[in-house]
Amino acid sequence: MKNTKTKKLLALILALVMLVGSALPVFAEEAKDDAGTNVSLQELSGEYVLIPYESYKSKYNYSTDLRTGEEVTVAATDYITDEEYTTAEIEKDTLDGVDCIVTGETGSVSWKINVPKAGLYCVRFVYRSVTDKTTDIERVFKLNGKAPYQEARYQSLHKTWSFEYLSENGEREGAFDLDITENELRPASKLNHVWTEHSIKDNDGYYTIPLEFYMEEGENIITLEAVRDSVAISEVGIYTYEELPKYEDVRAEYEKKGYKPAKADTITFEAELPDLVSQYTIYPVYDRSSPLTSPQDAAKIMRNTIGADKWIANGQWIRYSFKCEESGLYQIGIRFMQDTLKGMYTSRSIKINGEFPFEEAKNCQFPYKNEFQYDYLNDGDTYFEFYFEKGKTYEIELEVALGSFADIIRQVDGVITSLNEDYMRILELTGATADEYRDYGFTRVMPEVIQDLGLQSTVLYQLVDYIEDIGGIKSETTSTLEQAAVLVERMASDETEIAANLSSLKSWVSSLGTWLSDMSAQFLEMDYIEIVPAGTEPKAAEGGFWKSAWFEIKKFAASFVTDYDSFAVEGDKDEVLLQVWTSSGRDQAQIIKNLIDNGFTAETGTKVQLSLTAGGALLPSILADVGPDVSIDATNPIEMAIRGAILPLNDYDTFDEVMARFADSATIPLSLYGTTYAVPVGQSCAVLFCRDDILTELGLEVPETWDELMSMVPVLQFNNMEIGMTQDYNVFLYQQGGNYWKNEGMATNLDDYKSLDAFEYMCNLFTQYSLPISYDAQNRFKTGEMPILISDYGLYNSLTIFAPEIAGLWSFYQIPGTLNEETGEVDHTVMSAISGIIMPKGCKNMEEGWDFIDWYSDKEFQVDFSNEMMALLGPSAKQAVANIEALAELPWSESEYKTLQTCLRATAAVEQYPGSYYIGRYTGFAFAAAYNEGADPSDSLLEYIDSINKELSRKRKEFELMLNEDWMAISEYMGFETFGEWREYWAEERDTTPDCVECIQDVAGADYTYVDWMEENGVSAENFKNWQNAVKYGETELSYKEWLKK
Amino acid sequence: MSKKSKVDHGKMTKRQWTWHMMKRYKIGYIMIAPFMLLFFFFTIIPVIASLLVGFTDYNMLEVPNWVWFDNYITLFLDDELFITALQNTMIFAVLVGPASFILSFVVAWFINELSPRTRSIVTLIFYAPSISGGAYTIFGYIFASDSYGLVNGWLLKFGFIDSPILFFTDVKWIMPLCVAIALWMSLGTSFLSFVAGLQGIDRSQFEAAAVDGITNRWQELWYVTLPNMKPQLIFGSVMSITNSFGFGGVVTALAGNPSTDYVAYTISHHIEEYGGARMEIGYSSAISFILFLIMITANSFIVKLLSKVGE
Repeated sequence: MKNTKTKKLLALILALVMLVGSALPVFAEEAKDDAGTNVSLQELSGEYVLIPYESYKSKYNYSTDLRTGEEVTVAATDYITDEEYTTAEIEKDTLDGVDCIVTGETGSVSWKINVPKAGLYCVRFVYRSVTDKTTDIERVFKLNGKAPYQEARYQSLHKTWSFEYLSENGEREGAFDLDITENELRPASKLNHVWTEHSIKDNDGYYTIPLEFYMEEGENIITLEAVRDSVAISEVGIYTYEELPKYEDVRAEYEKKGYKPAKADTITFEAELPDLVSQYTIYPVYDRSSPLTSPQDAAKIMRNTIGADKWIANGQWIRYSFKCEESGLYQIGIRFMQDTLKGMYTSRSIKINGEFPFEEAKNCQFPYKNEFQYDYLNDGDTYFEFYFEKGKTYEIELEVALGSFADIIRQVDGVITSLNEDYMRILELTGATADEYRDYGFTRVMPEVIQDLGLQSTVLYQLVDYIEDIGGIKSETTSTLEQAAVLVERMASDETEIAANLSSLKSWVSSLGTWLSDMSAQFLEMDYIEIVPAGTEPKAAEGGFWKSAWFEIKKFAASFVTDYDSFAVEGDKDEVLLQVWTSSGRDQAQIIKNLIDNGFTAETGTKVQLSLTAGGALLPSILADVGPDVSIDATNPIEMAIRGAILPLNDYDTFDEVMARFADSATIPLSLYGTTYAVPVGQSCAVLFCRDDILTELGLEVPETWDELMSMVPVLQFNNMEIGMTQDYNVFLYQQGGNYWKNEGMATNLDDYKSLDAFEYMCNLFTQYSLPISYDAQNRFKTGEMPILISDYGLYNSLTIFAPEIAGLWSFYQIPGTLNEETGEVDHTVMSAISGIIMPKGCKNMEEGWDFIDWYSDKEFQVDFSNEMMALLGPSAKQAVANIEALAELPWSESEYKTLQTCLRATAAVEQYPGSYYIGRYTGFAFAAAYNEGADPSDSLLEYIDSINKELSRKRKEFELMLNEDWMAISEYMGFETFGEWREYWAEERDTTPDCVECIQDVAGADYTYVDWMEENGVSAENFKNWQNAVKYGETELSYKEWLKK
Repeated sequence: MSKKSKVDHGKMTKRQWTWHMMKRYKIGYIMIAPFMLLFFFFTIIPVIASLLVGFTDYNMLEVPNWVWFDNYITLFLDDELFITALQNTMIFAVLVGPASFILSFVVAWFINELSPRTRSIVTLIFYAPSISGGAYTIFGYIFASDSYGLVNGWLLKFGFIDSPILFFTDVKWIMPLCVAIALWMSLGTSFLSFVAGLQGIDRSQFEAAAVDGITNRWQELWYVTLPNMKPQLIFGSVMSITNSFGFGGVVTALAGNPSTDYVAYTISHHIEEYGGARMEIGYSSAISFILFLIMITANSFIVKLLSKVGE
């Protein structure tokens, strides 16, 4: 009995963890304060568990009677100075004539509020942005030291952006800049620092009114804790929420006042020219599908619409202003496109002069159609009429809202959480591959789970009915819910169905997750807005078949002469100085171009032409001497460097300064024999992804060493789970302090006992524990089959997008390490992949090129670029930057950042030498032999050593580098143990730098190289062999040197 | 004509005569010109260029040096991989070449007996894999090494195996699978030309043959059908040979290049390996030229063999 109680409690806690996690991405941040290494998952589960709003409401017997009508405002400057409440560094300031405080990116600030009467209050504060960052300001809200419930905790504060139009008086004609092919460019965004009022609200938009809190009479403390960006705050207050009037009441009011439809002309304004927008990512886009979109051109890109997929997240708004010539009633008509939410509508809430005119304005509907539509603002039933006065300026704001869907989405969110929890409970008993013929006795073991399944299916059925009711049709939108409901119902009613349908349950939960994010994305693309006198019928939005056909014909004809792919270049072509190539996407290139114009060109005056080229174009272009000055994405620079195709960078005076920005390992694969050929841009490494929820349930901890990881295998396998293991054997080699190469790339070191040990260790992991070799990492991690997974940290991005239903249930850690038995320390070395920026041979502006590389790899650019990418593509666009300072500035949570930092500090990279590719290939062969045929790993690896070394020598011969045979002779002759001694000897003898090339390469044009040295001393690989043979057969006992003299 | 008769044909030199005839048939030359230009610039010139580059140590980035026959000497005397590649290519060519040729013919022959409507549907079914270029990648999914791979999934489910087979990494499986897939892919252009060829045979010949004493289908095939189809047969054989000798793309897509232990490593892989991974264009040109010679030889041999058909 007690056991089930604890289980229930655990289940509840878990459920809450999941809930909190999915609602609040930043949640993990505080819970794990240190790199995740020493945090106990068991401890974690109990912390920061917040109840949902619904539970909060019932806890305080929520009712509108509790609203008091009171209001209190406190000046922000009167914050509590006590360090217990205020930890942030605070600066008092006066901005735009308003006294305020400015808080930074860390710490919290609190205010004391004297509540006159116990009851429900909303919390508001007035803020203003202070930095120029493109992302939103983020804060955590706390009431009396604790976030009262999940929805209230995380607050995202929009900034206010405007555009710089080139035309006067906001005329459409000539508003945007043109590129060389006369396509309209995205206008420059300008951040406006304005005072804005914010009420604590639900960030996901599940609740359409501001959140309310129950406050006792007397002193209450309101705290804002910094998550991201600085902010200025001028006042803080509480107020009582007042219900908005209904439209019919407003209508009745109109009639009472005798308002009549206005007798005026229609006012039309282009939607692509808003006054203000809430985010940097909302900007004029273009539609080329409809001939009636205004303006439209068959050949050129006209920025003729706004919104689309950039205006879909809750809370994003766009504002316009207008004046009417006559007082009277008007309707607001919009030509729009909503072609994503099939059979449904998307919603916007409308504010006039900053206020909702009536309750229904929160839910203006835009139904689905796969072409443009024209309609007046309505809530699905009635067209809204607004009273506008003559000559007065009105501001209209359209904000993304979930409208009447908020409730549905919230409920589905709840269903997902519950089903996830039920699934995990069932999984506990059956394992991932449940045996459908076995009687697990679910009703006996976990009756509450079965009950819950029944409950959830009922909820889903009700939702389906409700949606069909409002949508009026059965669409594919409801079918997901319905099918999930059918399945869950079947599982709930017949327990023999549970095991057989377990995997489908998981995939349906996943589908529900996708459904949720699809539904929350409120797509709307607007062409123009009209203020039309009331009492008219909406006009047609499309021009009919012939008009479209003619437009298509024109477009087709224009396609022969228009170059749609040429990338925007500013100014005169002759003026362009620096040629920079990138093979990234168009969006990336556009961002880079903007940053170049505003950063590099503005600072240095050097103009840059950025070109988008295909990845393979670089080599041929260098060959034909038409290559760029700088190439941003270069793969395998050493292969090019050894053939003299890219320029060394060491000699620039700021070289050391630039290189100090990166981890030491980052330069290794970009350098050859002491010369660096590329500057690191991206560096990523493997991390350990863990499903915290599953590990907690199984009572496991995040493994510290490989041995610990392996000790978890039985527990996981007992529960039919697996480990996604790395097949990168270098990790084991480097963690044991081994090395890949002998004598700086002359031969492989894989025949060393350490290497063989490492290789054998890795092979045994796979053969003895039968770990899977090939698997779909994302999927198995998502379903929980593979709760532990080692993968590149780029998977983080995929998981945030691909697996929304497990958001907050997983985190990543440093990969397990190898225990050094002597020192007792754990070596967490991890291999990293590095990309770089290069200057190819034939670069015409080397100084400028280097300045560009310097600028490009610097923190400022890397951070801006990453932020802009995220602004454009969402959180999945986090870049794996190599610049360590830049990494700190990216919006990773504190704990994630710390983990990454520790990982990057422990990174290693394999040196690249001619013939490198051969080693990976043969270790792969050896691994295949060990795994497939059960061959002895060491034996099979040793078999290939000769082939590898032969190939290395062959390649070295091609580049006239010292061969291993030569080195053997030289080292024997000189009595050197390591190659370093030879370098030192050479540097001393020849009076050159220790990185001397001549001691390793037979450089053309050099007056004295190692080959000359060998000749001079009579040393050669051949006579060395002869000597060896002579020693072998006992013909001589002389040393090589003496033998040669003879 | 009377105007042109001024030209005295008898007194023209050979060159003048050629020029004269070219002018007369200029429409024909104009019509063939686009193809000839493309063929010349994108086939003839590259073939000659590759022959020349084969004598150098060109590496894509540096000025090449003339190395005479070094590349060829290394190729035959000091390149174990080339021997492996040659061996595998021969296996592919011998297994896949004739088999696909015969298979194409037999399938086309059977299909020919069907009613026109069914025939076109069946033709499409057989021809589809080779028009949709990357269709073979489906085998990558069917034989995925993942335990959720189609074949592995079933084998695991029915207990034939207890851990997934790495079909395209395991040396035991790579070659047989690749040969099977190559055969599946091979009902291509030659198959289509056989179908067309069979259609083109004059039915009356069969009647005449029957009158002349042909007693069974085999005799009919040998004495009537095949001799009538010689052009298609030659076309088909050329296609089969080039395809089977140039085989490699399928292996690369499924088992990677190189495949484990080079078990399915062919000459075309060798060319890719040197031209791509090692950037030794000179050497890889030499290999291509050898492959070119092998194909030419095989072709002339087959053409000779086919001339015996019907005798």
